[in-house]
Amino acid sequence: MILDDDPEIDAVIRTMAAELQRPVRVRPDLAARVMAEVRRPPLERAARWVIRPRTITVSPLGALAAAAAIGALVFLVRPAPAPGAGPSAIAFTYYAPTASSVTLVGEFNDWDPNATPLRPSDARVGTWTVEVPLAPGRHEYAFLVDGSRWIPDPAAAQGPRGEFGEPNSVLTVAGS
Amino acid sequence: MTPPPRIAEWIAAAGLDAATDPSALPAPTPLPPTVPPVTDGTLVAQVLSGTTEAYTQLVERHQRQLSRYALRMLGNAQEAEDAVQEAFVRGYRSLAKCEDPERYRAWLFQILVNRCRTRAKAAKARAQRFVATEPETEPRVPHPEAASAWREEIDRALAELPSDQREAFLLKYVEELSYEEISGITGASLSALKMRVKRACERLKDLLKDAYDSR
Repeated sequence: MILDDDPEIDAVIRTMAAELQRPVRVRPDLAARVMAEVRRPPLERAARWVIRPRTITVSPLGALAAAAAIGALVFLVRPAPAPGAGPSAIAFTYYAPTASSVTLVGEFNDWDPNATPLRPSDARVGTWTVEVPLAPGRHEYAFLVDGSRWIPDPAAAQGPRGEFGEPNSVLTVAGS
Repeated sequence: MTPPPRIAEWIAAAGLDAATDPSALPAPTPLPPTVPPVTDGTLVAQVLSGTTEAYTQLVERHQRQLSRYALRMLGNAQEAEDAVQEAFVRGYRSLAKCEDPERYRAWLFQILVNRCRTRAKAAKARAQRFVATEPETEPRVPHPEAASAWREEIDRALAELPSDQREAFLLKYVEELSYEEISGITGASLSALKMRVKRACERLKDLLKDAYDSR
């Protein structure tokens, strides 16, 4: 115990810290709620994220500017049919002849290490492959080899590093 | 020859006499084989290899400490519960980015500290905007741990600290992490952290001295 070992600590602080170290009530269903959330399919999670209520603070000047911008958009943008603007099937391949598993992690599957496994290719020995429907736009992703090695796609452009400094690749899917 | 007193007591307790041939004594019961503890690193590896259920053990193993930090940091049970749940879920989704799975707890603390910072900012903004809309007559549910005046004074004093000092103080003296660990979690330098803890202690002593003397 740091508190017991350090004679320099004032009695007030020592007593206070001991009080704060008392256990707190933990929500009894915390683990169940966490596991329910992590098992939720990526699409359902994305839908929940979209409809999640948010509070947006806008100053009066900001509100005026936003109204002007929306007005300009309504004026400039003509609704037009966009045939074929839906998801495209994108093939990802990675050469790892000694790996026992390769999975694809990216924004599109919420970086879930278990959501998108690659399968060994029948045509090319040592190559792993998977096909994923991706909407037009920019996607950041990486491969996870043997569940622990985070590897950017050598066949794709390098993207910005992630929240923890890990290297990612970036792929832009064009709309047709 | 008379056996020494303690051995004589043992022989008597075992129902033997001093003349018993030691070789006639029953063989000692072998100790059960020791089972190596399942470490955080093992559980992380199991989750990453597809055994999602192993994450439940990581949650159950660390939920108490994380809940305590979040409650002390945010001062609101509901906010703390939400922050801890978010941290565990984000931890799961980023698990492959945990560079040292044996130090999963410190890595998760890093996520929780960030969640608490975000929630504290949002709560502050809400308080500034909506303070007048809360009915003053709304009954306050007493916090189950705020049973004593001393305890209430502690909560009040903690809330008076700047958030970076409160964060450093809680991680150091309540969660008992090393300065090196706290530096990895918060991103602050060792010297900055020591200064924050020192200032926090000075301020807390000032705020709590009277309440401490009159306990």
